[in-house]
Amino acid sequence: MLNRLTQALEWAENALLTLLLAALIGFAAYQVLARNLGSGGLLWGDALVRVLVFWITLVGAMVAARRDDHIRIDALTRFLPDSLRRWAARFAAAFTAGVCGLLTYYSFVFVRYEYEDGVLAFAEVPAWVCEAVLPLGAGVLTLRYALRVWRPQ
Amino acid sequence: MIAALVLVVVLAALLGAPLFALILAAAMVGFTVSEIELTVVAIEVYRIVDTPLLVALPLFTFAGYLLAEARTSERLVALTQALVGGLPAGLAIVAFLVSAVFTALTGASGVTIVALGALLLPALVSAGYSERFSLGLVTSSGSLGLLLLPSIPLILYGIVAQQLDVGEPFSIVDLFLAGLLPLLLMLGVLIGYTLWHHRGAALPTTTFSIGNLGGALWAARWELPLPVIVLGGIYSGLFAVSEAAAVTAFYVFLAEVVFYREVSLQALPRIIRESMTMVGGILLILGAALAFTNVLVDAEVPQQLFEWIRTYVTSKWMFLLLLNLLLLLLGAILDVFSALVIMVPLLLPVAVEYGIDPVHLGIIFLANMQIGYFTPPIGMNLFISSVRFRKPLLELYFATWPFFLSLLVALLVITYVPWLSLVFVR
Repeated sequence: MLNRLTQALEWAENALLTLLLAALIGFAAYQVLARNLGSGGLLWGDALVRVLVFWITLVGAMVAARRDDHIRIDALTRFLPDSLRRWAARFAAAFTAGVCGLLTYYSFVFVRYEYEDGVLAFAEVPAWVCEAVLPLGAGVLTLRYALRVWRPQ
Repeated sequence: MIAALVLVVVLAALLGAPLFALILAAAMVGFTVSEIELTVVAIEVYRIVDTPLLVALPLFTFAGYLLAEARTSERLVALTQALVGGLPAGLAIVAFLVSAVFTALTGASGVTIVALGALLLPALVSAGYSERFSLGLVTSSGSLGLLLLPSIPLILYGIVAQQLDVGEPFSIVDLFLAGLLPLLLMLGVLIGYTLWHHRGAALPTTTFSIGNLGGALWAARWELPLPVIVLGGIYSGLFAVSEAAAVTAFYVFLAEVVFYREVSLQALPRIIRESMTMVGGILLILGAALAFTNVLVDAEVPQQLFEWIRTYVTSKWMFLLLLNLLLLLLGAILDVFSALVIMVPLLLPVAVEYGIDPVHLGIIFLANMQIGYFTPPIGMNLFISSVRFRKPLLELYFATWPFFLSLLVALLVITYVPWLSLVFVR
C-alpha cells in the first residue's frame, strides 16, 4: 500500500516537473519573441514565469529528497565508520523532518491568511494558489525525511 | 534554551543534515529570539518569486544538461583543435579553453570532468603529455570558467549581492564584463606553466588545415549560433540575462533534440528530473538564505563583524589576504552555491567597509571557489576525478599542485589589482 502510494506520488512529481519546465521554456521564450517582434508579450506573462520557477523549486526539492540528494557538508561523516554513520544519518533526518514540519505548519498559516484576504497574484489568479506549493512541498519533505529516521540508507 | 537550539543546529551540520534545513533552522532560531512569528519564514522563502533574474537558473541549467548529454563536447574539442591545435602545446591549450567554455555552460558541478575529461585525458596522453600532467590539467580545469558568461554561480552572486544593497550598485552584465580579464589571466598563467614545464621537449602539434576547420565548423553548425545568442545578446544589451536564458534553453532543445537528434524524446524526462532537482536544491537554499540574511541584517551582525575585524585588521590589503585564505578553505569544504548564499551576506558589507568594490569582491570570491574545488585534501573535483579515472587521491594531489600554485599566483594578481576586474565596469 505504502509502496503504491510512493510510486503514484513519484509519477505525479515527474509529470509535474516536466510540465512545469515545458511551460517555463514556452512562456519565457514567447515573452522574449513577442517583446522584440512588436506585440509586447502578455501583461501577466513575467509574473507567471516567476511563479513557475517557484513551483519548480519546490517540486525539484521534493524529488531531490527521494534519495536525499540535497546539498550537505559531508566533510566529517565521510570518515565515520558505517555503524556510526547510520546513527548520524538518523539524527540528521530527524532534524530535517522537524525543520520541514515547522515550515509546513507556518507556510500553511501564511497561505490561509492570503486565502482569507483574497489577494490576487496576477490576472485573475489568487495568490494562495501560487503559494500553495510551499506547504505541499514542505509536507512531502517532512514525510520523506521522517521515513529516513526509520530507514536510513 | 537558545544555546541548546544553536547546539542542535551545529550538531546537525556536523552530522550531515542538508544545508537548506540548517539555514532554515538558523533563521527560525533568529526570528524566535526577536519574537517574530515564524510565518515570516514562509513569506521570506516566497520572495524567490520577486527575483526576475532567478528565471535564468532553471533555463541555463537545463540547457547545460542537454549539451552535456549530446556530443557537444566532442564537437567543441574538434573545433578548438582545428583553430589552435597548430600552436606549441596546442592540445593543452585546447583542453584549457574547452574546459572553461564547457564549465561556464554547464556549471561547475563536476560535469566538465566527467564529460570532457574522458575525452581529453586519453587525447593528451596519446599526444605525448605525461599522465601526471594530463591528470592535473583535466582535474584543475574542471572548475575553470566560473567567471565566464553564463556561469550560474556568478549570476547567483549578483542576486545575493543586489539583495543586500550595499556599496556601488551594479548589474549582472557588469559582473560578466569584470570576469573577462581575470579569466584571460588565469588561462595565460596556465598556458605559461604548460610551456615552461615542456621547455626543450618537442610536443607534437597538428598542422592547420582549412579542410579540418571546415569540417569542424560544419559539424558544429547548429551550435555555432549559441555563443552569438548568449554572448552577443547579453553584452550588446539586446537581451536581459533571463531573456537570453529563455532563448538559449529553447534553442538548445531545438539543436540537440530536433536537428542533431542526439537526445531522444524518451530521455528528456530523465534529463529534466536530474537538472531540476539540482535547481530545486539550490533555490531552496537560496530561499532559506533570504530569511537568514534578514535575521543577520536585523541583528546587525555584519556591522559587529566589521567592528570586531577592524580591531585586528587595519589595512585593506591584510583583509584581502585573510579573505583569500578563508575563501580557499570554504571552497574546499562547501560547494560554490552554499558558500555564496551563506558567506556573501556576511562578507560583502564588511568588504565594502574596507573600500572593496562589490563587483571586485564577486570576482575574488569566485576565483577562490574555483581553486577551492581542487584544493587538497577534500576539494570536490579531486574526488570526482579519482572516481572517474580510477586514480588514488594521493596521485591527484601530486598531479594538481603545479596547477594549484599557478592559479594561486593568478588569484593574488586578481585580488591585488582591482583594475583587472573593474576596467570595463567603472
